[in-house]
Formats: sequence, C-alpha cells, structure tokens
Amino acid sequence: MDTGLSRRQFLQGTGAVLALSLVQLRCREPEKTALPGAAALPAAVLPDYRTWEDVYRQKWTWDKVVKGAHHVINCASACPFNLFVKDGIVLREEQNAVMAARSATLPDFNPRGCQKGVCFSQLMYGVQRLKHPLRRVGARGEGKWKRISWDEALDEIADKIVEVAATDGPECVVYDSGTANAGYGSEASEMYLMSALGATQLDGWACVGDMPLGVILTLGLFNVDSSSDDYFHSDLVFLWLGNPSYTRIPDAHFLWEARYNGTKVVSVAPDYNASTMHCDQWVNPRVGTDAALALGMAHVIVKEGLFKRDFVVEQTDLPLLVREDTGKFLRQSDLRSGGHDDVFYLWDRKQGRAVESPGSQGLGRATTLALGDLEPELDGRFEVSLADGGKVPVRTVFARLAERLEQHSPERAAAITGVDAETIAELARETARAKAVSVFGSWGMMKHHHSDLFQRGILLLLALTGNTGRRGTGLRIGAWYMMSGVEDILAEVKPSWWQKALLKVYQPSVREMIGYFRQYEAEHMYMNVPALMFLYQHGGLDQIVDNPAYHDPNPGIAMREAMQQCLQNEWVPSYPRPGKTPRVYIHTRVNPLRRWPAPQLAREKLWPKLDLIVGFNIKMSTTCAWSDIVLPGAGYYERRGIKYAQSYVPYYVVGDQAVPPVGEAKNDWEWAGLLAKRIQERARARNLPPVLDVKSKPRDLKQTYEKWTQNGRFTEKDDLPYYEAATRGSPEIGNIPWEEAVSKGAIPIQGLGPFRTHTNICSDYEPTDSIYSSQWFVQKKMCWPTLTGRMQFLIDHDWYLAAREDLPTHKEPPKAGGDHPLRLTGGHQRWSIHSTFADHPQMLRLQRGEPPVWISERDAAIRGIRDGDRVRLRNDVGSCELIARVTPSVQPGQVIVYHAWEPFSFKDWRSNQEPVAAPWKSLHMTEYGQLHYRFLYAGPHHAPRGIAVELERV
Amino acid sequence: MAGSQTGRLVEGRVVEPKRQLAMVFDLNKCLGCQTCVMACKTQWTREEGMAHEWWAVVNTMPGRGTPRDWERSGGGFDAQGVPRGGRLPKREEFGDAWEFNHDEVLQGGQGQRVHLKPAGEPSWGPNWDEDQGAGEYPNGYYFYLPRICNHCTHPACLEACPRSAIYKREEDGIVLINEESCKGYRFCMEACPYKRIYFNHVRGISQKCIFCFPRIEQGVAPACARQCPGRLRFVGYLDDPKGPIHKLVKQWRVALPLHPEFGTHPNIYYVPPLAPPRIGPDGKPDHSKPRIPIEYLRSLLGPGVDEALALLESEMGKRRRGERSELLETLIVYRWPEQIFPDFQRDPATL
Repeated sequence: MDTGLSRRQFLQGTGAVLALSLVQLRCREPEKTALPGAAALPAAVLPDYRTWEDVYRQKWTWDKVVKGAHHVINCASACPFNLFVKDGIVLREEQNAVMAARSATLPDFNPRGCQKGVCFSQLMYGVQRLKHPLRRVGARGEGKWKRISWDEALDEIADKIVEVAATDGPECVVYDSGTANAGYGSEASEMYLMSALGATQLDGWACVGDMPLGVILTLGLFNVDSSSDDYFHSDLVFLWLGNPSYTRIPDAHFLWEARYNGTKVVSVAPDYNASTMHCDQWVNPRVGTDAALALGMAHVIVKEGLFKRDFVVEQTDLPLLVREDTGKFLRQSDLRSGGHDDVFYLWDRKQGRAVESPGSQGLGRATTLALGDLEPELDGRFEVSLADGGKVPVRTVFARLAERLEQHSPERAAAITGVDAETIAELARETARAKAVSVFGSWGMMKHHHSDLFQRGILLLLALTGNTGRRGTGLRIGAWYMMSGVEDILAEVKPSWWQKALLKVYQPSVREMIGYFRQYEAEHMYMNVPALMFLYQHGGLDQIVDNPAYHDPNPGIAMREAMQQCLQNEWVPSYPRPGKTPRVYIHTRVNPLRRWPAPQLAREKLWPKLDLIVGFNIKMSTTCAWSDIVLPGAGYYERRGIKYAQSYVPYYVVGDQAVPPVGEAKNDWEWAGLLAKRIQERARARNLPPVLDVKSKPRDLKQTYEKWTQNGRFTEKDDLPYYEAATRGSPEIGNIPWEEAVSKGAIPIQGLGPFRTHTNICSDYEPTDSIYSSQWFVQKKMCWPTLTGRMQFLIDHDWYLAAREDLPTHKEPPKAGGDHPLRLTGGHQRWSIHSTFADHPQMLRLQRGEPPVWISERDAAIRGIRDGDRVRLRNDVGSCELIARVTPSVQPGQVIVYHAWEPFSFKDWRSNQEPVAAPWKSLHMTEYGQLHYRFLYAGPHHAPRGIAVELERV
Repeated sequence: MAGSQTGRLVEGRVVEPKRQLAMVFDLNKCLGCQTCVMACKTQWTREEGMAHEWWAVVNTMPGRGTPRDWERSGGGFDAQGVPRGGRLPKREEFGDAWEFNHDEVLQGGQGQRVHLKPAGEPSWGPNWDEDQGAGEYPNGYYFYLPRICNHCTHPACLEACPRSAIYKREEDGIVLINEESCKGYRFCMEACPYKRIYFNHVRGISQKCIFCFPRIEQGVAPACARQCPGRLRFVGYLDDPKGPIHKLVKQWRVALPLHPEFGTHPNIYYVPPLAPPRIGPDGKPDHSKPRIPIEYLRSLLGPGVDEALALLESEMGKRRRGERSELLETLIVYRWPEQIFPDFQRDPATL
C-alpha cells in the first residue's frame, strides 16, 4: 500500500504539509457527506463492535494478590503494596491503601508510594539483575565474569575469612552493612554473623552525611520527627533546605493540603525547586549561609522581646550562669572542692543567689526540669564566690547570646545571605506570632560543612519561640517506631527478668537510657567502625580530611591533632588498628564506590590491600563490578521483609514472599546462615583455636554456626521463625502472628515503645492524634539528654570556645576542593532511591538518559554553556562529565548534581562523587556530655554540599 | 449493530454520551513525581511496540512538552467548529524508548572504556524539559501539568478516523480506538490537538489512554488516579452534583479545561497553579504581579483562569482566618478514596 510509504515520508519530517491537508480532508468528511439522522455515518461499512475491549479486560487479570513492600532499600518512606502475581511472575504492583486517618480533622495516609515503588516489578526482571554467583576472571572492574556455583563461592569466601582471622585477626575481615540493610527484617542475619566472628563492621550511616551534629549538641538526641499529618497542626512550616516533593513523595501531600487548610509554608533554599513552587513564600539565601539567616531572625526575636520567657527559662540553658573569666558554665566544682563538674547554676531572683539548675546531669535521679519555687533571672551579671575564696563575675548564657546576636542583625544577615533585611525581620516576627511552627529539616540540613551551626541556629529560633514539644512544632529530621521483637532477637545480651521487672517500676530518663546504650555498645558492639574513620585510616581519605585549606580558617583545633587525640583516647572506634591491613571486604546490597566521598582514593589505596572483595546484591552495582565474587540476592518480592518504621506514617509495613527468588538468588537469611555454616566447617577442619578480637576477646570460629542459629533456635532453611518472633514479640503491633501481619501488609502502631537510640519521638502515644516529638521534655518536664539537661546552646568545650562556636554562630563554608567559584549542592533525586533505581531504563527515559548538572543561566552564559552541552565538573580533588541543564531556577553561584548516580553511568566511570572533598569538622571528634560516638547515630560524617567546583564545556 | 454517533457532530450538534466521565487535576498538589506515568506504564504499555508509549505524561510548564511543541502542532477545531490541520508528530518527538547498554558495560569485558548511556543521541523524551521553566532568577517559574487523553466531548481523533475505529462510549464517554479496526493511518494523531495518541510500530495501530475502562467497569479508579500519591486526580461523572468533579468544574468553576480553544471540549480539568510571590529588585516580596504570568495561564487554561485563581486565593484567605471553605475541604481530600473518586472506591485487591 502506498499509504505506508507516504507515512514513512512524513516520519522523516518532510510530509507535514501533506499530512496537514489530509487531516483537513478527513475531518471535513462527515460534514460533507452529512445526511439527516443516523444515516450520516458509514455504519454498514464500519460496525461498532466492542468485543475487542475484552483484550484489555483480559490484560487486567491475575492469579493471586500478595502483600509486598520495599524493605531493604533504605527508603525513608514505608509504603505497603499489593503484588499482582500471574503465572509465577509479579506482573505489577499497586499501593495497598489501607491506612486510616488519625482523627476526623486530619487527612489519611493513602495511597503511599512513588514512581519507583510502582515499577520494581520491572527492575526485578531487568537486565541489571544478578541471577547467578559470579567469579571475576579478568582484572577488577574489567567486566569479565565466570558463572560459579554457590558452593564454590561459599568455599572460597569461608576459606579466606578463616585464613585471615587466623593470621591477621578477625578485624581484618571488614563487613559493610551500609545503610541499605536498615530494616526490621531478616537482613540482620548478616550483622549477627559478623558479630559472632569479631569482624570489623562499617557503620555506614554517618558516611552518607545524615548526622545531625547540631541537634545532638543542642538536644542530645540524634533525630527528632513527627508523623506527616502533624503539619496540619502547624500554622507556619519552614521547608528549610528540603525538597519534599522530590524526597518525600508519599508524604508531601500533607504539606500542600495543610497549606489549603491555612498553614503558611515557606521554602528556604537557594534554588526554586519542586517544593518551592507550592509554597506561600520563598526565601533564597546564598548556599551555606543558613545559620546567618536563622541568627538574623533570632536577633529580632531577642531585640524586640518576642521570645517566650517561661519556655526559655525552664527548657533551655539560657538562664544558666557562665563565668566571665573562662566563658564556661559555672559548675559545682567551681564553688566547692570535690563538687561535681556537671551540676550547673541559675540565679534565683528571690534568694538573690546562684542555685543548682534542675536537670543538671550531676543531680542524678532528680531529672525534672520543673522550677518549683525558683525564679531564675534570664539576663544579668552577678558575682559568685569560688571554692578557693576568689570572686568571679558570671553572666547568663542569655546575656552572652544576646551580645553574640548583636553581630547578627538582619542587616548583617542580609549582607551574608542576600535575603532582604526587612524580610528576615518580618519572618522572625511571624515565627514569634505563630501558634505552632515546625521546620522540615530532613537530612538535607545535615550535609553542609557547617550544618551543625545551621541546626543550632534553627533550634535557637524554635526554642526562643517555644516551638518544641507540642503538636505542630519542632525541627523535623527523622525518628522511628520501635519494634521490640526485633531487638529481642538481635540483642547480644538479653535483659534478665529482674531487669525487666525493675524497668516497670523505675522509669529511667532518656539521658539514663542513652548512658545505658552507650555502655552496652562499648561492651558488646565495639566492632562497629564509622566508615569514614575506616577510609581515613585505610582508604586514602586522610589526604582530603587533613587538608587545612578545606577547613574553616579557625577550626578550633587542626584535624590532624583532633584525630590523634581521638584515636589515642578511643573516642571513636577505628579498626583495623594502624599496622594491620584490611584483607577481606564484604559489601551487601550497598554500593560504597557510589557513595563514598572521592571514591577514587579508595580504589587507589584500599582496593589493592584487599585479597577478596565480595558483593551480595540484587543487581550488578558499580561496587559489584569492582568485586571478585558477586552473589545474587533475592529482591523485595522474593522474600519476607519488614520495612523500618519511620515516624511519617504510624504503620508497620511488611511484605510477604510473592514468588521464588529469580535465578539462583538467595535471601539474606539463607546466605548468611550458609556462610556461617561453611566458616564453622572450615574452622573445624583446621581445628582452629579461638582467635582474639580487637579487645582480646576469644572468638571461636568453630562455633560460628551454633552462635548464628542462637543454639538451634533458627536455621538458614527458613526465616519464618525470625518473622514470627519479630511480630509476636512486638507489643507495638499487638504481638500478632506473622501470618496475620502479612495478610494485611500494613499494621497500625499501637504504641511508641520504650526509648531507643533510633526511636527519638519521646512522647506518649495518643491513639487518635498526630504523633509529635519531645513531649516528655516540654510537657512532662523530663530533663533533656544533655549535660545541662536542657536544650543547650552553650557548648563550653575548649575546642568550641577556640573556634568561637561555643554559641550558635555563622561561618562561611570553607572552599573544600580548592579555590573554585561555584558551590556544589545536591539532594536525593526524584528518580532513584540511592542507586537502586538510578540505572533503571524506565527512570532514565523519563530524564535525559544520562546524569545532569543543573546550572544557573548566568553561570552558564559566562562559560558558554548551553542546555544539553557536555560539561566537566572539576576541582582539585576530582572531576566528572555531565549533561548541562541550564535553568532560571538555580541560584547564580550554585550548581546542583542530585544524588546516587551509578559511577558506571559516567565517562570512565568517574562519578559526581569524585570531586567531593568533604572533610567533617574537627570539633566533632571529641567527647563532651551529649557529644560522643554512638553506633549509627553520631560520628564523623560526610559533608558533600557546598564544596568548591568549576564547570566547563568539554 | 450500528456505529455510534456519540461524539460526532450531527446536524450542527455534537452527540453527547449518556454520561461523561471526567477528571480534575489539582496543579497545586502535583509533585511532578510521575507516579501516574509509571503506574500507567506498568499497567498497560509494556508489550512489544509500546515501549515508547506513555499514555500518561507530566510536563513541566512552560516547556515544549510531549511530544515536542504539541501545543503548536494543530488539530482540533477552530471557533467555527471547522477542523484545523494537524501535524503528525514523529516518534522521536515523543521520545523513543532508548535502549541502554547494561550488558556491554557490566559484562562486556571492556572495563571503564564504556559507560551506561542511551543508544543513539536522544534529542527529546517524554520529560525532556523537566524542571526547566522560564523567567529569570530569582523570578523563574515552572509547574507540572499531568496530561492524559482528554476523552473529549467532540474528539477530533474520532472525526478524523476513516475507519470509524474510534468511538466514544455511550455509557461513560470514554474514547477508545478499536484495535481490531484500526489500520494505522494515523489521521487521529494528526487531528488530536493534545497529541496524546501514539503509534505502535510493531502492530501498526494507534493507541492511547483508555481511561482504564476495565477498572472503571469494576468500580476501580484508573491506575493514574488511584496510584497518585499527591492525591490530586479527582475522578467522577460530570453530571453528578454531589461529586467533586461537578462541584469543581461547574459549581465553583475553579477547574478549567486545557486549551479550550482547541475546540474539542476536553474532559480533563485543571485547578490552576499558584506560586510564591516574586522577589522584587529590593529583595522584598513583590505582589504587584504574579510569579507565573497571568497571560501565560490564560493561554493555557482560557479566560476563566483569573476568576479561578481569585476564588482560590480568597478561599485560602478565609481558611487562614479560621473560616470554613467547602472548596478547600474538597481539594484537601480528608478521606481517600471516598472524597476523591466517590464512584470508584473499590480496592482492586478485593476483586
């Protein structure tokens, strides 16, 4: 037919005119042939058969529906899904939208999900999927593989582990659990195995830059957050450095619905982003100047007397007395010999003298913040007599802070941030006026060099205005719901009956609980090493971290010196110790060469030290591609799982196994058990005597499997007993059987559980209201888990005093990466959960197929860059090639590369992490009251945002 | 069985279906996350020949959209109801389903000499101008426009099909292309002013959004609507005075048709986008004119946009003062699914 030929001509772009005339002809035809009534239609020729519709009806059929979830992907959201299975294949998935509203005036949580979650069924059977164990036959990273059996793989891995443990010590086996394993499911089986071995376990969370050091310094808590519907209780919400339309897809609707409900939503970000567009106001500070903005607002609130005095006096350290000579808190040890150095003082107006401040750590069980008859002065200068008889003037923290804030007038803040002074002042007044203010901080607020100062400034604003511990208030970063059953399984040492009984009558304060966990970690979990410490020692990261040019000019203490003191005092664990070399590296589901800062250093320095690199993953990641043995892991729909329960949605989300694992994939539980068994066999075959771990504790590898099974409680063949124990042992979900849990997919929480390091909500559970944090401190007046027991704004540690960071302040971001004019920012991108979906063709087709960098029109014009050009992003540390996206949304001076592209998506596999010169602050290396290393929740961390770069056309 | 006249111009009047299904998309809630896009893809367009078909898309506006420059591609009817000429969009103007070289990169034995990239040099895609926008910093602007087939009251595609393979269902107004009758002439693609029809190069037929009719028939909302985490896609019959669609479109007139001048009477309606105030040269919020130029919104959503935005803003003012607003309560959707698609609440897992 000639129609086909001419059609092809149209497709080649020349037939448009012809096509145009044809369509006119066709469209006019009915008119031209119009006859009265039905005869107008060529019905006899073209019957209106509708039976073809059955084709589509037939397409939408399935054999069974299974409850599913995406549980070991480290996505902050928890979204229950229905999996539609046909002929043994998960055909598609759709949200299991069964989550009720908490009250009549709050919207419900349905339907949670995002574009990634609704197409995992395609990734699951995709080209990148690992289906068989593979052994490298070429050089590392060369992409030459041989298919091997699980037995061969396990033999080689077990042999090497046993050999290294015997000759070098078990700590030279390094296990990277990263963050993708964060979950309440059976993935913990690997951690259990590695603990039994005494292997080094990399604590990966801080490595992604999520540590809220400013929150830890101020509140003593690692994270704080509420449920997503709590935005309905705020009348002012700041989205401060966050872009929830990208990063909180299932939860963002609450923000925009709250806006319809009368909440004012303000975006604070240098760029006009997908969330800014829905806000009532946009405030656009220069990159890295957020602390100056917050302090400019605090200045107005103090100057105009808009602060809530009662709240400040009771809840914060602002009324505490500070010695004028030292700049440090007045302590009991100053006033009398043998006095505690953690009892602090207020000036009581009635008594006209310094009195011990409620909440002080040194007061032991007296943990209430209630002032009773005390009437503390907030401002003023007084004199006290010291133990040695001398007299010393003291002032309140408030007085010193007010003096410090003098330097942070809105005009000064305007000069620093580029935001208009009057706008800053007006925002301050609005914040003070509002009944309830919350700040969406999320983890974007943690990733700048001076993020701790951002957080301290913002928390100061919230404290001055009393916006903490009530509905609709507070800084929101992250918090979790407890699942006691999981903790019971994993705990190395279980509490005895009398300890449990004691806890029922004696409710410890949060500060005591943190102390308890700190001790527990030191005794039983000492093999956890922050990944960045490991890279500093063994992976070449010291080159960047020690470079003074990449730090603040007044860092308080040079990094090298801080590090020396840290290692000497073992403030932060770091193994293998100098003189020993890591030899086996096992990474499971994580993608360290994607995630680590300047990963080229690790490839250069760490990789050659390793005899064996093993990857266990659902797909061939970049790190797998650089490994020796790669093992196929079961995908989310091929195993049972429990999604970690973040505070956004008050449900536990669980998934059942819908289909058998693809290819030869195994679930985490089975592979860990098989490896434990094989190590035990090999150790027994060699009759290996117990090896000593880093603390000289004997580890008997001949008992590895026995230990892993918890003496026969579990076997690798079936993970059901684990899940049974997890759900039945969790009063937070009503101690239900696993079958019942998984028949629903989403189980409402029935309680917040006890305080744990990851459950930072610190509020009583109210079944018919939104969930908000810090109620115990503010409403029940329990002391905060800080040295002073209060929201603490003065950190009177020598290093902090030397750095002039004793009080909240602003510092310009250092030019980490060298003297380059642009500042690199980023954020989680819309299109992937870390790197899991980053190379999914469906996701790439909805972008431009390759990693982009976003640049302002001004900066692009200066450099002759047009949209779509190939450009090089570079600094003194590294470079990569990207596609330029030129847009008026980006602030001049800023460039944005969103997070988590696979390095194999870049030319020469050099990714956007290569220029990331991201030293953390030396100030974070010490111990001071609430500041100390905590497994997962506090430690040296990654600060990839705001580094100095240049961009040029390739 | 006689061919249906529904949707055709007969004796100067368009024959309307008994009932008309419609959707309202609230642009003030759209996240641009494209979950609707992927939900539709996973549900309907994964077979061979359909890889490049995205029956649901979300375009960043202003932008050239999908297919490229669709707004300037003709089709539809002029003010007199006379068909306007239309251009047949090329496959690459929609954006082809680029293939990627995973095997070569990860198993090909070439190390870092090759990296993952799309085959060919793509010049356009379904979301090519994502987050690009217009204006000048700090007064740039953009918003998201989700688009599907408009299931028009007077579908130009239907009138253009020489096979009468396109029909509008009597019971619900859904416009379908009969895949058995379609011979792939593609006049429909030229005639559709919204350019929401794709060509299946394997089967040689035209295909488009089917309003998820198999789901609708079972009382289940379309996948794009039911799976939208932004909760912005209302579904219902236009004539149901109790339903949200009627209220938003007819009663409050806050939801407007896209490019009404295209003359096809589309049945997807949009609540127009608000935006934060501009930042004036003095750095202060500048309320003298809106961030998104009103002329632009008028060109997109017609002259009703001024009143719609004014109503939205005044109702939001009421709510901020603590007064009730039925309009905002409707847009908030306190109870999903009953308030967002009251007639299509059924959970497909229960079928």
